[in-house]
Amino acid sequence: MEQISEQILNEIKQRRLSPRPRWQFLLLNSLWWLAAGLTVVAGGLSLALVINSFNTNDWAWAEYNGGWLSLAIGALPLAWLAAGLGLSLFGEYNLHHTKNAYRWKPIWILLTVLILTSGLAFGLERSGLAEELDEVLSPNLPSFLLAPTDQEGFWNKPERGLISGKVVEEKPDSVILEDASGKTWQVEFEQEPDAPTPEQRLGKKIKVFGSGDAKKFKAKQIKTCSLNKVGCHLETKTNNKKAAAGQVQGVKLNDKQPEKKEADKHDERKVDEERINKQKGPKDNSETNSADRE
Amino acid sequence: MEQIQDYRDKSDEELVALALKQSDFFAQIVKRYEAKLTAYLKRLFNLNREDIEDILQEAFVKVYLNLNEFDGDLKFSSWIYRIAHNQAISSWRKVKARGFSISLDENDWQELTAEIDVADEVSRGLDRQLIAEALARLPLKYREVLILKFLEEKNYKEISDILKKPAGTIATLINRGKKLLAEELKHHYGTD
Repeated sequence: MEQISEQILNEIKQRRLSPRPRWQFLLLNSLWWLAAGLTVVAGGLSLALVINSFNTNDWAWAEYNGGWLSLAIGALPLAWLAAGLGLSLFGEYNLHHTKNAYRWKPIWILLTVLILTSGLAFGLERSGLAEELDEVLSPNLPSFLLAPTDQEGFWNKPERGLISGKVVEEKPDSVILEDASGKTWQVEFEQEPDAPTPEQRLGKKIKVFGSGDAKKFKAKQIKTCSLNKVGCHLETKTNNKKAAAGQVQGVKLNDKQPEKKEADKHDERKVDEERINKQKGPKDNSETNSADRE
Repeated sequence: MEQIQDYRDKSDEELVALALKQSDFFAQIVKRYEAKLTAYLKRLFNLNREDIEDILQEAFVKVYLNLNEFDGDLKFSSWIYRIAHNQAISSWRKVKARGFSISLDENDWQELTAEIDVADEVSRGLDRQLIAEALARLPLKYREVLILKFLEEKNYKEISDILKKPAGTIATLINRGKKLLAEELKHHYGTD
């Protein structure tokens, strides 16, 4: 018995061994915590982009595009979803290596990481950061990383009454639209008082629901889209901001407009009367002038 | 002699603090745990003396090198058992390749048979060697918890700290291990 303790002491002295400093252990443990934290944040961002993709999806047109389920699957940015879940698993791995994590069952650690990641994701989405990040990332990412609904062509299904693309020419009652494949369409619509002006629509991407043949398309509904997206994607969060800035989205063209308020009707009557008076004005004046001359 | 008596009165934590200042004090830690760990490794793997000495030597060097990692978050005995256990596991493959049995001391088998649910006539017919053989046939994850619980007399928290598994998992493993050991004994020796 004595021999082993002596052997060990001799070995320690011969090899000049000394205990590793405490800071190394603290640093290692801190690095595991840091890695776990970073993976939770990265996972949260990824999942926030998934939620954002769902929130900004054009659910109102689901019936024209294969139904809710089809659109829900289409709105899944699988790459971000995989990244979010993968990072959550990696977060569990990192957390599992912290000093006292063995006292918890791995499933509880994973659930904790998933709850933290999801909570962060909802927070980031609500704060608007996810949308801003999406706006920055989407144009710079390969299309396979985006949700199918953000891909070129997803909203371009003429057989279902949907086309989308960039407005390359604007006429008073129609636009020339160039879709993702480069094909041009003449989209006719009835001009409405609150429809976007040519300056507001020209060069922008729009989605159109309607009917038509191979070249002409009669629009029933037009929506303008986010400019930064690769595909045509309706902006919902910035809708109010853009609308306030003069960009109208989701304009129904042929549908019956809601009845105008009495005050609005009164204003319109007033404007009409003024217009008539102006038109009458010069005529009356000329009559007066000619009478004077006579 | 008086000095040695002083060290015996000191707690593990006090000895660790002394060993961190002067390596000579580490010998007292080795002396305190050498016999306990030797018995544990014999029960777990029935390694021969040479193997045990090799494992213990490497384990104690690791303990010394990592002394600063021990911070009182768990019992020192749990921490040192953990290092010895891990060292033994990594050496076990070599031992396993040449076949092994395990060794139970005089009183060990009585401790175990009192815990497992076997018929009285089976229990009376059992001897140390039969239990040792049945125990050796159990998967390591059950064997290690049974040995730590009933032969090393560690509580759930200590076993959890030694094996780095949650206490709930330890409880499950102990229950399943007891059932498996009882079945093993009944199957091989119960009806004969």
